[in-house]
Amino acid sequence: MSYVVETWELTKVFKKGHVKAVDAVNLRIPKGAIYGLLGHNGAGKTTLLHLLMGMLLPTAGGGTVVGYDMVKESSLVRKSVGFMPENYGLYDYMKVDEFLEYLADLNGIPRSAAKTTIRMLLEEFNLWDHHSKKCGQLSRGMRQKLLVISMLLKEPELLIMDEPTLGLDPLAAREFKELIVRLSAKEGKTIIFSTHLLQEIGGLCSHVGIMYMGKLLIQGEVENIKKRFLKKQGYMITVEAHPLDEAYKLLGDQLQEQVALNRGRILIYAHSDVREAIFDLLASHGIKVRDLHLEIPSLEQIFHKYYRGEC
Amino acid sequence: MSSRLFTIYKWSLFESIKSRRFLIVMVAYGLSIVMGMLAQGLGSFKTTFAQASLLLHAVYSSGMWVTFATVFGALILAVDAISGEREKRTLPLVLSQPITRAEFIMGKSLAIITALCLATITAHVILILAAISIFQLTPPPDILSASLYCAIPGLLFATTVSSLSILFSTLSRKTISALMATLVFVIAIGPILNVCAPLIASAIVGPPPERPVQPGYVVITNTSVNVSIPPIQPPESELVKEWKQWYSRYSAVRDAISAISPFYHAEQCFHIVAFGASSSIEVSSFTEGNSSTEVSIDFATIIDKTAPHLLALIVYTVVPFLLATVSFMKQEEAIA
Repeated sequence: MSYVVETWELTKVFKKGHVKAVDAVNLRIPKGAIYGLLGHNGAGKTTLLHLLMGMLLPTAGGGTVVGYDMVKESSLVRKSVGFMPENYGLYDYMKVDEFLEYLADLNGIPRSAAKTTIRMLLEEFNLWDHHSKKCGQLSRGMRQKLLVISMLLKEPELLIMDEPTLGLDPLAAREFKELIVRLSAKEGKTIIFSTHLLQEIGGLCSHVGIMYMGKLLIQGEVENIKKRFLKKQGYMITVEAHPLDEAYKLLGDQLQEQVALNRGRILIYAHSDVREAIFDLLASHGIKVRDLHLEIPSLEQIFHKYYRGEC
Repeated sequence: MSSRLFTIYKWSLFESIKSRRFLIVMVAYGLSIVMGMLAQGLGSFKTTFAQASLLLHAVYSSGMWVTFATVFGALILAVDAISGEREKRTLPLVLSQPITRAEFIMGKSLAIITALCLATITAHVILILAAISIFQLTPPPDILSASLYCAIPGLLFATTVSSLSILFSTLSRKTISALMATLVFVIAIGPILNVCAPLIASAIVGPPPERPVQPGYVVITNTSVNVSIPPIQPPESELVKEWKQWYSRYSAVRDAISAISPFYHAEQCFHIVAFGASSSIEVSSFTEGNSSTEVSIDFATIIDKTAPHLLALIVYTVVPFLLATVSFMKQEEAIA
């Protein structure tokens, strides 16, 4: 499999305070993925993203980003990768189009081509009406859009966003999610973003990585992570059946798993996915099965389990 | 490298010049010129000064005020060069572009220094034009260019203060800390060192030997002319030799201590230029007894005397600039 980002034992120790911000991280991000980097504040997400951009030098280890060595070819990495920093820091005194021209200039984009692209992107993101406004006059949502435009100016293959949903209102956060999906699906871009707001990334990421104290605890495709989690933690199956007591007694007697009754439902904690066996057993005894499903853990649950060291 | 550095330079210069701060600096320079001229009461010299001397004196008697304006300008334009970027949280955005940290800080610093130099040169040109128009002078072109040449100390002081401001800005997280550090280093340390230098020098060199009786000058005074007759020098006694040795050591230590402050060097430059002009005038008055006679100002001597101070100011510009660059390149926590 070809990876857009691949690191080997990437480590960063800040001299001041001897803090190990990133600890032997082996990141693997495939092409076209929407990769959510999860972790609490101080987990090392921002430092890891800065390392990927070549804005910081690693203490040990290394890696490649869009095919370039992140240390030796950091300038090429920065030229080919769009980066959105945390907190939407903009030059508030600059006009919107001036700001974009400045960034285009820094990326060596010819002035005439830059002007055309800037206009096209501003129109696409409904910001053209604000092009002569100063950046300081923009709302938080608009600032975020402007930063996305600034990333797209250089037509990058990979977009890296640091806490992009921080401080956004629900509507702007939803718009952002739609944007991510569009950029990934239509334009085939690989997107990495960090967040500590887990509820906001549900259903958005194809891949996740969970960071804790500088370490990457787990990473991979969301579905695979959930499967691995279930295998490790056990399966919870919920059954609604009629008559309930008879079903509960039967399952308790016949199954070699833990069975409990809770609010009119039977909960089964199993070591494997035994849904088929349950259905067959109940049906063979003439018990009507109204609902039978496997409780799929949310990313938030998985995250907290890992965080508490229960995984 | 050069094109990206030039991009940073161009945009930062553009930003500096079109900002309200640049206007404030220009107003500060204007005020310093007016204050300088008012404080020196130059109108009273008009009858006794030769034209060229008057021009130079007019320009450099305001030097101290222009110096303060320069410090103010440097603080306003340069002190938030890096700390301001940190406070506005724009550093990660800029550093995620294909530029190096060295290019960024060098481009930005050069732009700030250029902006301040533009303000300084403009202020000096205005100063010269103001002096010409106030005293209705018709200075010969060489005097005019020489006066402009004498703007170099002001210009160098501007680069020095900018450079120091940028260094402190790089080292500080907050602009206010950078501001205080620059103020203390440039302004406060200068006068404090001036006061403390003789005491420290005495402590280092030791107490002076008994002071020999100096052969005095014979001064003949009447109401309009002062004449000094050189005394007949007696052979130097051991006491005189000893005292001279002590004094040369003492003055060397004192000057070395004072020289720590860049303000001292700027002050010395302005003093030498203004004093150079004044001493030429006195000779003219004595020999001709007529103030309207043109005299030739000894620029060679002025340049010769200011050279070490100019060199010190260059060092004070280059060293903090390099330190700021190296420090910024090594600062990892700056963006994290």
